[in-house]
Amino acid sequence: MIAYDKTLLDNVYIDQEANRLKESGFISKEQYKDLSHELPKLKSQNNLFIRIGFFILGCLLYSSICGFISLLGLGAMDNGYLFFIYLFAFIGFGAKEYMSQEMKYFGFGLDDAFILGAILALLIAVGLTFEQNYDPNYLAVIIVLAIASSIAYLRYLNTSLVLLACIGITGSAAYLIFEYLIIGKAILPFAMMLLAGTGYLFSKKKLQNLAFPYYYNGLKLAKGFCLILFYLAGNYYVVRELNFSLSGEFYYNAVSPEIPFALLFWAFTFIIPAVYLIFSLKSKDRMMLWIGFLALCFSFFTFRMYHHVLPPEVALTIGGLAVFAFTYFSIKKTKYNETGITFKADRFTNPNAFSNLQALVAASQFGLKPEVKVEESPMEFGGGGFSGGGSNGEF
Amino acid sequence: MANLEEQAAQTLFDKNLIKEEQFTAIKAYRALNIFSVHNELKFLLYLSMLLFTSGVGILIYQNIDTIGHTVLLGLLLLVTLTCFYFCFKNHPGFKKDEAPFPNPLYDYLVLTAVILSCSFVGYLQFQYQTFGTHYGLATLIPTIISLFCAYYFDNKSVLSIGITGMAAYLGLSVDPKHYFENEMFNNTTLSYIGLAFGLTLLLWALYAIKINLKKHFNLVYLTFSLHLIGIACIVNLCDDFWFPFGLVLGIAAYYFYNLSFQIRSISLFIFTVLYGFVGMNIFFVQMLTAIHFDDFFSIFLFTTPFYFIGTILGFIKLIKHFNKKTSDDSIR
Repeated sequence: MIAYDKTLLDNVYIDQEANRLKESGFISKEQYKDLSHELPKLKSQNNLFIRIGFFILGCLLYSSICGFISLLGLGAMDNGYLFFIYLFAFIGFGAKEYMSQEMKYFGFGLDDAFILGAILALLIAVGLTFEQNYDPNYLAVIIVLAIASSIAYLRYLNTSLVLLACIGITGSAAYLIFEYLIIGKAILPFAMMLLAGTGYLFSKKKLQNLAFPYYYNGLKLAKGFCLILFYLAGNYYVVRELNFSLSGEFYYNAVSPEIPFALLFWAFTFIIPAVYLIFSLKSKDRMMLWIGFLALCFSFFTFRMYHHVLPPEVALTIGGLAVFAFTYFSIKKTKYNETGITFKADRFTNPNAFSNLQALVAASQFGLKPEVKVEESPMEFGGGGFSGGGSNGEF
Repeated sequence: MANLEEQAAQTLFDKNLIKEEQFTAIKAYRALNIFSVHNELKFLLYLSMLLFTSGVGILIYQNIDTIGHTVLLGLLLLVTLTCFYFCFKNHPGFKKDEAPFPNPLYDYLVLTAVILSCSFVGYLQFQYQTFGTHYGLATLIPTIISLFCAYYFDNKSVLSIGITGMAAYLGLSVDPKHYFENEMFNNTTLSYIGLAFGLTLLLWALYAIKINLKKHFNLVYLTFSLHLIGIACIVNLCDDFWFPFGLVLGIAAYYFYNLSFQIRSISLFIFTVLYGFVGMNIFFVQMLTAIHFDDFFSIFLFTTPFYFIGTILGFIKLIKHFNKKTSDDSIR
């Protein structure tokens, strides 16, 4: 099933482990260098930016090849333009296959561009085929998306394909339930939760029994996707607004109506993040911790959307103080833990991962703005060019 | 996960690529089963600081009429001074190289203090016109405070605030928000100033290397400098006098390209290559329009795939070169 050379692929994962060991200081840089030279492996770009750069270049290359062919076939293309789009998809898949087998590219950026471009071309082709022969049918497109990207992932292991596959599967399930079931609209949130829960349990089970590292990243991503989907499917705001927009706005003076089982969804909104947080700390699952945290933030947003308890500025100040107090005590509590949950930096995670990001955020949030020109507003705004500690934007 | 990692480590050991004592050390460390929430808690600290300062900023703004300016200013000053007091008390003092706080908590306290003092000066000027019509002063003073704090307390976030302050004094907005909205230079004069400011930052960074002053700040300076020069040149490339800026960008890109090897910064390398590539393409297009190439447009279209293949090969070569030069085998 996997398109790559097995030994070379294995060496990619071994090299990753060696790199982790180098970063965490267990082996020296020289040792890693020698070791990495000794292992023949697939060519991949480990730096995200470079990979994105190659991805963009790959997209340009792919589209220019498509343009080239279209120019050649311009005369013959009267009604048969669909054939060309299928041809483009075929070229994309072919190029990816060639890159994986002959050029030994794995996650190089270029190959990502070709496989994603091929899937996109295939979707367009399928969509147009249906539009020519029947009504436009989105279901076929999403189902093709789900199937094509799942198979492509199983063969080529590019993690971005998992995301596409998850979106495809979720989309087709939602479409099927919504369009073809009479009570579909009422049970849509519960069906989505069921789907996400099943997907989570499935990927978790698979992850535990994984003998080879090939599908590890994809399963992890699928797990995260299921967690997010599960939360969003139960979130009050999402359910209410989606229900509103799916049923047409003109009914209710553009104010979304209350939904049935509101209390249940409110419960979901707050219990799910809490469960995520507690469970993630227990099972030491970092991704779940972050998802839980973001979900909690979204829950607060949801709550404030419908219940205006405090003015935002007071909420911000109090929230800041509360978070500070919580963090301060957590740091105090976990500072000296040698095992388990601890504030001590793990050797395997970079303790300064956020430092550059923080500098960036500080510059964008609190960066000083140039003075407003005196001629424009001589009196009022003379010195008001400041961001004033975050009060920028709103006023 | 740990399972698979251990498996990989075992393979490394089996292949005789790591030594036995290294392997046992790795195993022992993994057996501790550490779940470090270091980054998460630091992030929460940062978040709380953001929330608090934003909230206080808005509160002050809204309650100017009710509480009274003097009280508010006094309160603000009090909080700021308290923050500074704790910072000074707990900091080991100025050093030419890295001088971190014993506790990461204080880094955020410094940031809070600096932001609050910026608010304080801004408020003072807004309400009492302390600096009269010398509006520049109202920007310059917070800038000086932030630069001083950045160097004294060794804080990169504060440094970036200081740099935006300097740019603001010159009339530039160099924060990322404006960068992404492509609003950095809305007229030509500003872009010249930006170019000059970028070059100044570059010179300062080089001088700092020479006198060994806070070398780890150089990445911040060079990043600002590269983006300023790159954007200013590209903006001008699309204008009437494009030719000299193409040359400037070419020289700057070559210089930064070499510099990125020296300081081993992958982000600098990538953005240099990116600006160079974008600039080169615009330069080509300008050349083509200058010699009225429109007539051969379709021939030109046929060569694009080969052009892209050529650029891809070029990029691969550049990255290999970077890998070789930095002697660290792979870019991560």
